[in-house]
Amino acid sequence: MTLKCNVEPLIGVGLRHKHYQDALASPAPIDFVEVHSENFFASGGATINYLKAVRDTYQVSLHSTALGLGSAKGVPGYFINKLKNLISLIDPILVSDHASYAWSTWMSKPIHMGDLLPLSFNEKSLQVLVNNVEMVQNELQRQILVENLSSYLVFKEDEMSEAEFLTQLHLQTGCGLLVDLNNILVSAANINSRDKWQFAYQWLNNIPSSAIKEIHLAGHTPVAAGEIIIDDHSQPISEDCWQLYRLALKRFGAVPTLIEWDNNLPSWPELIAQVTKAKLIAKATLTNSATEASYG
Amino acid sequence: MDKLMSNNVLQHQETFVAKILSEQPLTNSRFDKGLYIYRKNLQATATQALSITYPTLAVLVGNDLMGKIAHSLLLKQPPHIGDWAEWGVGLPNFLTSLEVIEEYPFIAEVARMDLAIHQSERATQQMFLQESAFLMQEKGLDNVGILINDSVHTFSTSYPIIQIKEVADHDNKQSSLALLNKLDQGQTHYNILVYRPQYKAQVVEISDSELTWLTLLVKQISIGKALELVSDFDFTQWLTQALSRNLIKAFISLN
Repeated sequence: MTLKCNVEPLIGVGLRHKHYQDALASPAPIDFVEVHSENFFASGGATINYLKAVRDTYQVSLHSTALGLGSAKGVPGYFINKLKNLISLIDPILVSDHASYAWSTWMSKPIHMGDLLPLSFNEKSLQVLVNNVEMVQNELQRQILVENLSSYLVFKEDEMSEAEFLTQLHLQTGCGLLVDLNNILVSAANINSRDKWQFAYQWLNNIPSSAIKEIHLAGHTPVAAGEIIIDDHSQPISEDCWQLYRLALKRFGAVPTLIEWDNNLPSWPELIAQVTKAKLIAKATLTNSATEASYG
Repeated sequence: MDKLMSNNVLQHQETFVAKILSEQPLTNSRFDKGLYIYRKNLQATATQALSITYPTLAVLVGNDLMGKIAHSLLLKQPPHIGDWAEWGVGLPNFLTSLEVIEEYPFIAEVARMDLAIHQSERATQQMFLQESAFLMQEKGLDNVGILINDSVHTFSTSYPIIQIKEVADHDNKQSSLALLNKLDQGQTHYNILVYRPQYKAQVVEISDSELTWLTLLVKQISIGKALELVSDFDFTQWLTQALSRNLIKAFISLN
C-alpha cells in the first residue's frame, strides 16, 4: 500500500465513541480512521470486536496517548505488549504516539500521569526519547510516528527548538514524524511568539521533508489575547490551520492527513465534510505545486 | 546512555510531576499558568475516568463530589498502569474511609457493584467449551469441577443496591417503588451476581445457596462434593440457567 502519492493524500478522521454506530451504519468516503489504542487494550468485551468490524470497513491507524516515550523511567514491557497485541489483531496502516512523558515516580510510588507531559528540548532528554523509541520500534518490529505537542510552558533547561529536537529524534531512530499543525499554532500563541506565521513557517522548514509521515489537523476554542490556548480539539479546523496545511502540503507532499475532533463533537456528516474540504485543498494545492514545478 | 544524563532527566521529570500533584498555590507567572493547565487536565481526566468506571456512583454523588473523590483518590492511589480504565479499583474500600459519605454507607457498596460490572465488561470473552461436558459422564460428578467465566463476579451486601442502581439509571417511579418495597421488607442481606451473556454485563440477586455453590466451584470443589455441601439446590435447573447466562467456561477434570 502506498501512503504517499503525488496528488491525493489519504485523508481520515479520528473515530470517537459518539460516531461508533454511524461509522459502520453509514460508511463514509474516507481513506482511514484513527483510534486511540488504549481504548482497545481490554482483553475482552465489545470494543475490540467493534474495532475488528471497523477494520473490515476502513483502514485503521493506531494512535497512542500513553506510551510516554520520553519517560526517563522507561516504558514498561507489559504496556508495549498490549500495543503489540492490538497491532497484530488490527494490522494498522500507521502507529503513532507523542514526544512526551508519562511514567514517573511521586512520593516513592510509581505513577503514570495519564497525560502528555512536556519534555525539555535538550540533549539529555533527547537521548532518553531516542532510547525509548528505538526500544519500542524493536519490540513492535515496525516504524512508529512521533507527534509534536502543544506547549503550555517553556523549561529553562531547553537548549534547542522543538523542530530541531524532533529532527534529531528522526535521524537517530528512523522513526517518522507526525506533525500536528494545530499544535504548532497553539504553541506559537502560548509561548508568546511575536509572529505566529514566522514561527510556524520556521517550524515546518526546519523539519526534513522525508521525515513527515502524517499530518494532524484540528481546531481549538479561541481565547482572548494573552490567555493560554487549550488544545481541546473542540472546534472545526481553523482557517489558520487550513492555511498552514496548504503550506505543509507544498513542503511535504501528499502525506496521510487526519481530521482530529475530540470534544464538542459534531454529527458524523459534519465531520466527514471536513474530510471533503481537506481533499479539495490537498488536490488544489498539490496540483498547483506540480504545475508550478513543471513550468517553473 | 550515560547514567548521570538519564538521572538528570529523571529528576527533572519527577520535579515537574510533583509540581502538578502539589496543592501549593500558583503564582501569576507564565510557567505557573502553564502548570495550571496540567493540574486542571489531570483532575478532569481522573474525574471522567472514575465516572466511566463508576456510573451509578457518579449519578448518586453528583459532579462536584465525584471531582473531590477523584482528587483524593489521585493523591492516595495514583494511577500507575497507563490505562485510566484500570485506575480506581481501590475506590470502594477508599470510600468507606471518607468522612463526607460516612452517613451513606451504601455508596461504597454501589461502587463495588459498578466496579464488578466494569471489570466484567472488560474481561476476555469466553464461550462454554461444549466438548468438556462429556467429562461428567466419563469421570463422574465427584471428579469433575466447573470453571467459572472471568466475567462473573459475586458478593454479598447489606443494601438493595440493584434497586438503587435502577433508580439512578432510570429515575422513574417504578424503580423508586421497587426500592421502597425492598426497604419496607426490612431485608438486610443481598447476594449479587454480575455476569455477561454477550457484551453487556447483567446484575441479579441470587439465593444464599447459589452464592455458596458458586463460591465452592471457584475454589475448584467437585460438583459432587459441592452438591453435598449445598442444601436446597437443583443442579440441573441451575446448569440450564448458567449456560444461558454464560457463567461457565468449561467442565474440568479434578484428577
